[in-house]
Amino acid sequence: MAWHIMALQQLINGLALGSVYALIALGYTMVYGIIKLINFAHGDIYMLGAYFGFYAITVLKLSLVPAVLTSMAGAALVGVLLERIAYRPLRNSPRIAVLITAIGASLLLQSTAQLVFGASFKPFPQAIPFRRIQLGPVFITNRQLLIFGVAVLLMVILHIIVHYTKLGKAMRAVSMDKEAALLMGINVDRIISATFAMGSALAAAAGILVGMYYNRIDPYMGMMPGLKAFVAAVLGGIGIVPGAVVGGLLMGVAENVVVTIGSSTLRDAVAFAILIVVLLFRPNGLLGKKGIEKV
Amino acid sequence: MSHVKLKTMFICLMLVVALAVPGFAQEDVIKIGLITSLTGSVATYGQSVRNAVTMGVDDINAAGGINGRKISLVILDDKGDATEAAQAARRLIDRENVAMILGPVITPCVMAVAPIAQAAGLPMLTPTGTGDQITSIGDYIFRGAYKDSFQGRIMAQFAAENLGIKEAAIIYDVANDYSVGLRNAFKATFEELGGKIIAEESYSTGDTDFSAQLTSLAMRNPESLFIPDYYSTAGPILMQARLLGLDSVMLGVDGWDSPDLSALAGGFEEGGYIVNHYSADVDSEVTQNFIARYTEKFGQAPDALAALGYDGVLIMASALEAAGSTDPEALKHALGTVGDIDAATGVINMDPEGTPIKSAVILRITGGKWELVDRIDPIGR
Repeated sequence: MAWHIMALQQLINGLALGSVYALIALGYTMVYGIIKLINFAHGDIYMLGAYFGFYAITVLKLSLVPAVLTSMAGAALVGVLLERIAYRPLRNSPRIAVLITAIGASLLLQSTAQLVFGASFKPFPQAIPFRRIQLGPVFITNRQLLIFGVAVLLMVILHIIVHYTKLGKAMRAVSMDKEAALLMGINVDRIISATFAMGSALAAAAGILVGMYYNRIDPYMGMMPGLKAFVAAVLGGIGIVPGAVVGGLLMGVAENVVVTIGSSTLRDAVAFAILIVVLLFRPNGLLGKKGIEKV
Repeated sequence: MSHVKLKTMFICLMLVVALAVPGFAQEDVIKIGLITSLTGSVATYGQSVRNAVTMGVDDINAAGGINGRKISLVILDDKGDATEAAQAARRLIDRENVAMILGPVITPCVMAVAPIAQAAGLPMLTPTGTGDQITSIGDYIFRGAYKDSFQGRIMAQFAAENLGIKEAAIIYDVANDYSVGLRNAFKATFEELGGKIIAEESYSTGDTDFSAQLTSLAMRNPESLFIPDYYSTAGPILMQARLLGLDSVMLGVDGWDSPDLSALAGGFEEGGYIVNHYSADVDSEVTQNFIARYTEKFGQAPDALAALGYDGVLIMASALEAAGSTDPEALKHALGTVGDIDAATGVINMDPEGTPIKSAVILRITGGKWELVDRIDPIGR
């Protein structure tokens, strides 16, 4: 088959993977935008989301849509608790203290998951049949289509919340200036909780999509995607919501290009090489405005 | 005054008794350490091995033990992780004072434990490790399974000669010795027999997304695809391969044998071929007896890992009996020379090089079950 068909097919694969990164990156970027914290436990929320979905389907016998919603709600709750217990008491501490706490929280979630869910690899219940949809010379699997559909839907909902609701307005206000927002009568704590809830719910959806797409979940599945989604957020411009989407999609496609024309062993290396290049030449990210950091 | 003296004497006496009694008891048992993967990415292997080994040891103890001494097992979980396996080995050697180590289960873990056992001069036998390099670590290291070079050669021969396949593609884990060893052996034999490897793709341990590699492979439309890896990775690869349009004949290895394969492969393992250590269809009394008792005891049919675990105990028991003691030197010699052991995976003859001479089988998944297709007798080592 011709190389351009191959390229198109790989583009579809890359976009599917990229949509997953984008969903996770959104959580990173929203939290960073609002409290300037890199929540390293975010990848583990994504892992928990996959497990919640797994148990919603196998134990609660839910079908796919209610299972996704249950899992998103469960992950949102964990996200809110995480912020309340681990991050809020440190809100006025140096940023490095909170960062280290975030890494600790990540390890805690991984070990707890291993204890509760077991360390074995679990096959994900395949709640929908396998199908391939032919689009001219290329095809798309119904799982990839599901990833695109859910990702776009959730991003649209997020966009509406951030730009057209009172909650979104308050979030933007807190992101701009916490003290001023407080003076305007905004309950900053509640807004931060809501941000954690929304970011975690998006990660949970990504976890289920990945479980169905790759058919394997384990307690450590959040580590690599979490780090790569972080790179995606930085690539797009951390704190900027559309930047996370652009960064995620670019990362997914870049990885597929590397594996296709280069070597699979370079896959992770390239992801982090992107981080270094971005930080060197465009530290504010692709969509970030050039600004002088306030001292 | 004399009261206090009496009390002190009494306490001293109690201490002596308390210290001495377990000492006496220990003289009567042979302590064996089992390192296995009860959790982690290869958990079903380790659980099967643990079940079969405990069953085998119980059998020996029920029959009066070895030369009158019972066997006591210390079981440690390595989680399929080389570092954990090395720590388990240290504990067995330094604290538990075992006479011999059984396990670990997978090659990367064995490679971590073998140098430790060799340095300590303690015999070890991995019932299941297939990596070629295992037994070259030293003269105290033995295994109960065939080597990967043997296994890869058998699959290539079967594909080329029995299935008449001319073209093969390979997807393998560059970060795992087991996968790389199998790929090398398969490739060499397949090309030697006139076949062509038309495409090769690789990934690293822990990857979950194989879509880029499999899409590249699908474009070449290979007649067959060789996937030398454990079930937890081979399963998702099989599923993703079929979804991405690969309809090649799928060729596998002993690592595919797990009750979890089918769920991980989404049923797409159907029709695939593997090389394995044993088949439940083999008409041998020992094998059938083992299957019946294992099934009754654990509520599921034994896989090859269980059969190998059981055979590991049989080899160990023969060697302990032949050695007549737990002296490491005598035990090492016995492990390399015992033979004609009628075991669950066939007749086993040990060899001082460390690898037994035994047969292999080719199985095909038909209707969700492993069906015996061919049986290959050893062709040297």
